[in-house]
Amino acid sequence: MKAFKILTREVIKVMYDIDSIVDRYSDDIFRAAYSYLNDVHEAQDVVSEVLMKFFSCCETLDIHTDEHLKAWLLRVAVNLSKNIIKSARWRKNVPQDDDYQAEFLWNESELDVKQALDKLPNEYRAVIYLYYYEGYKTTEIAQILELPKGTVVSRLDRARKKLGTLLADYGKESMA
Amino acid sequence: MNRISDLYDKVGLCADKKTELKAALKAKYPQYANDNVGSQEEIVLNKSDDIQTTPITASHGAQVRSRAAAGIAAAIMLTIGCGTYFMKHNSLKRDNDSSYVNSSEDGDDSTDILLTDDSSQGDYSVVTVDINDSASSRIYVIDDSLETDESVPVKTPLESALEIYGSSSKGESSSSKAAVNDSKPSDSSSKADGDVTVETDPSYDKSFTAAFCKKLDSRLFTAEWDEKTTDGKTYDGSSEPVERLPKGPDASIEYTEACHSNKRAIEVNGERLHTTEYYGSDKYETYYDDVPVEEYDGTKYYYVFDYINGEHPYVDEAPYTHHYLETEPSPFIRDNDTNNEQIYRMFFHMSLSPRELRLTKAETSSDEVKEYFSYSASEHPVLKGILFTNDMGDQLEYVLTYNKSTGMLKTVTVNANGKEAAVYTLTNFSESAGSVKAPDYNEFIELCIKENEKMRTHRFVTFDVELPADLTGEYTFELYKGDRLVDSKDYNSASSELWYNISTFSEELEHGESCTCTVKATNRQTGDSVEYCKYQVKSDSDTAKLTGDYNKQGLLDIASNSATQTQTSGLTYSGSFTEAYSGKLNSRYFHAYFIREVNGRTASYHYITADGDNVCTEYSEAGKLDPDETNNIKEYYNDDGIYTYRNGTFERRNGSSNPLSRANDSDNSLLRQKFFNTPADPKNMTFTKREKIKDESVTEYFTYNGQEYKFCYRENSGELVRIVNTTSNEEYTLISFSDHPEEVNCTAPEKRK
Repeated sequence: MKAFKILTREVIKVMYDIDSIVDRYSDDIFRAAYSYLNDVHEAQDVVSEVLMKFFSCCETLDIHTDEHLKAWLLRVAVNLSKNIIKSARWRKNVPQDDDYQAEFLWNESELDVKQALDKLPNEYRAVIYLYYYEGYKTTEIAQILELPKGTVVSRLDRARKKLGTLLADYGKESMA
Repeated sequence: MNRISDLYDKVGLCADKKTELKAALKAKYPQYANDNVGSQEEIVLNKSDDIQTTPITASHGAQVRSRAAAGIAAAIMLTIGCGTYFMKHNSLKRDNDSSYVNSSEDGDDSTDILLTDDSSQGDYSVVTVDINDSASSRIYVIDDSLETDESVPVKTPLESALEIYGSSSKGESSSSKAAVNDSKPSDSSSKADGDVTVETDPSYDKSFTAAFCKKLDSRLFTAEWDEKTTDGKTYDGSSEPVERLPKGPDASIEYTEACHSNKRAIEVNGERLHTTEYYGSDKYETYYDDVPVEEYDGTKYYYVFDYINGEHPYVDEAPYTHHYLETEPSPFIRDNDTNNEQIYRMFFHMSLSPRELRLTKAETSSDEVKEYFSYSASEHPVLKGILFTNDMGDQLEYVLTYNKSTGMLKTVTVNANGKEAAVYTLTNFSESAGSVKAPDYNEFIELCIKENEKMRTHRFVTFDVELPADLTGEYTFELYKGDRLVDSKDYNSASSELWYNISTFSEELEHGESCTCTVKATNRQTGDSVEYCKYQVKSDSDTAKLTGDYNKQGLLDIASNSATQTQTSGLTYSGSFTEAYSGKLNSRYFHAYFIREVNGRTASYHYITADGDNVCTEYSEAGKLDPDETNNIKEYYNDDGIYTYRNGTFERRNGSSNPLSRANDSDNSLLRQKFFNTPADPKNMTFTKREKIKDESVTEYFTYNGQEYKFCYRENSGELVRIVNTTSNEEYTLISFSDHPEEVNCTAPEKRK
C-alpha cells in the first residue's frame, strides 16, 4: 500500500493573498510603527517595507496561525522602526511635530491622550500601544520587542504613571 | 485607558496608500495576487473520519470541517495521495483525482478549511489547505512514490518523537521529522494530551568560534566570531554580519542585536538618561534630556542597567529595583575570568550549559588579550504539544528544548489558548546531581509533569522595612534571599523609607514553600554590619511576614560607633594650603611644597621658599621643578639633607640631614588640618578608617566636605608620603615639611635682613 510522507519542511509552502494580507494587517503594522515613530510618512514606509519583506520570504516562514502571523509582522515593524531611529538620517533630522492628527479625526479628548503619549519615550509608546490596543500580554510584548519581560513591565508601569500624571493635568485644564 | 483604544482605532493606513501598496506588491510578487489562485475544492470530515471531495466553484464553495486540525492535515495529505490510511484513527479515503466534499456532523470546535488546487506533479501530490477566516493557505507537497509496509505498526506521535530524539546522527531523515511535525497542526487548542512533536530548533543548530578581545586600557568590550549556520555558510566579522541570517521573524535585526549589541543604560528615577550601545566597533550613545539626577551630599546617583546582548543580567530580579553608582564598573571590563564567563555565556545564549563553552587558547599582545572559545550546540531537539492542565483549569502547552550532548534542559515554554506565554529556565537536574548522564525520554516527560505541578508565574511581593526614627548616617541595606544577594539599597538620613519589591519566583523558593529573606545593614562610614531583620516570603500567598523584631538597637549601635569616631578628629587650625608649610627652622626659613598630580600627570604648582636675602616664592608650571637660573643662593631640602643651589648646581651640605623629617605621627594631625584648611567646622573632617598595607605604610582615610582623602605615611618615620583625593583622583606628594610645627606661621616668608 502506498503511504505518503511530506518530503521536508522546506517544501511545505503557505499561499498568501496580497489583498487579504494588506486589508487585514496593514493598519496594525501602521499603528505599531506610528506608535513607535510618531511620524505618518515613516510609518507608511515601514508598512510597505514590512509587507515587501514578508512576501519575499513568506514561503520559508513557519507560521501557523493568524496570531502568529500578526505577531511576526508587528515584530518586524518594531524592528524596522528601531532601525529608523538608530539611523543617522533620523538622528540628524529631528522629527517634526505630527501635523496629521486632523487626518485621523481625533476629538479633543483623544488629542489630549495623543499629546500625553507624545511626551513618552518611543519605546514606552510602543509598549502602551501593544498592551492597551493590541491586548498583548507583557510576555508577548517582550517577545515582540525583544526585551526582557521585566523591562516591559517596568516600562509599562512607568508609562502608566506618567500618563496618569499627564492626563490628570489635562483633566484639570479642561475642567478649568 | 479606553481613550487609548479610541485613539488608535482612528489610526490606520489610508485607502489610497493601501491601493498603492497592493499594486506595488502585486507587481513585485504576482504569484500572490488573487488572480493566480487556482480552483478550490472543499473537504468535510465525517464522523467516521472518511473524507470526500467534490469540485467547487472558484468563488469558494462548500466548506471542509474537521473536529481536529490534526486530523484534517493528515487526512488531506493521505487522501490526495491515493486514499490510503495514514493513521489508525484518521483513515481517509479518496475516490479519484477529482475533488469532492461531503458535509457531515461536526462539533462546535470545528475548523473550517478549504482545499484548493489538487494536482499531481510527477511523483508528488500538491494540495493547498485554506483555513477559513484566515488570510493564509497552506500547500502540502506529498511524495507519491514512497511506500510503506502495512505490517509495520503505526507509531504513535510520541513514539515517533522518541525515535527522532534518540537519533544523534546529523543525517537523520528530515522527512520523518517533518512527518511528525506536520502530521498535526501546531495549534495547541486542537491537540490532545500526549501528542508530542519534536523538531530541531534551528537557532541552536550552529557552532561558534569566537575570540573575545579585551582592550586593556579601555572599557570597550568587543567580540569577534565565526559562525557556521545550518545553510553551510560561514559568517564572520567584528563589525557587521557578512550576510543576514535566516533566523527569526527578521533575521538580520535579530542577528545584529544578538551578536553585536552591548548596551549600557543609565536611568534616574525610572527615566532613561543615557544609553550606550556597541555594535561591533561602532559606539552609539543616546542622551535623554531633562532627566533629574538624584544628588546626595554632592554625589550624583544614577540607576545603571547593563545589558549584554539585549539581556539584562538581573532580569530575574526586577531590574528596575537595582541601582548602582555611576562609577560601577562596566561588565565589559573584567579583571578576572569568573565574570567574563558570564559575558561569554550570555553572548552564546548559554544560560545553563557552561560545559558547551570551551577555552581553546589565549593570546596576549601589546594592548589586548584574546581568548578563543569554541561553542557547539548542534543538537537541541524541541518538544512541542505536551499539554497539561494547571491549577486554574487552563490547558497549557509545554515546549521543551533539550540539549542532547550535555543532558541539560534548556527552557520550558508555556502556552495557554495561544495567548499566554512564559519562559522558564529550569535548574538542570542532571547537572545539579553532578551527573552528565542525559535523561532518557521518559525522564524528560516526567520532569515536565513535575515542573507543571509547581508551575507559577513571576509575582512580586513588596514589603516595607521600618527603620529607627532617630537613625542618622549613611547605610547600605542588602537583601538576601537565602544566601544570595538579590537587592541593595543605599540609605542616608535624608531619606526615611526603605522597601523591597522581590520576585516570589526563584530557585530558592519552591512552590508552596517559604523563603527567608534577610536584610543586612552596613554603615558606609565605618564598614560595620548588622543583621537588621528577616522576612518570610511565601510563594503561594505572595506575602512577606516579618520574623521576630527589627534589630533597631544593633543598627543604632553601629551608628553611634561612627559618631564616636567622627568626634575624635575635631581640631581646628587656620591657614591655607599654599602657606601652611612655610616657616622658620633655626632662624632660617625652610620651604615646603607639594607636587600636585592629576591622573598621573604633574599638573599643578609648588612653592619654594629659601633662606638668605634671596628668598623668593616661586610658582612653577607642571614639570618645571628645577630652581630658576639666578645667582641667588638657595637652600633646598630633601630626604638626604640640605642642598645649596649656586650658579646652577646643587651642593650638599656636609653632615646635613633633612631638617623637615619627622619621627612621630602627632604632627600629621596638624598637617591634615592645614591641608584641609578647616578653620570653622572641624566636623567637616571625619576620620573613617586606618589600615596598614603591604609596603609597611599606613593609610588613613578622612572625609572632608563630602570628599574622601587618603593619607599615606611611612610606618616607621610617620612621614607623610602622599595624599590622594579618592573622589577626584588628585594626588598630592609631600616633598618636605617643617619639623617644628610650633613655628609654623601662616604668612608669606620674610626676607632675611
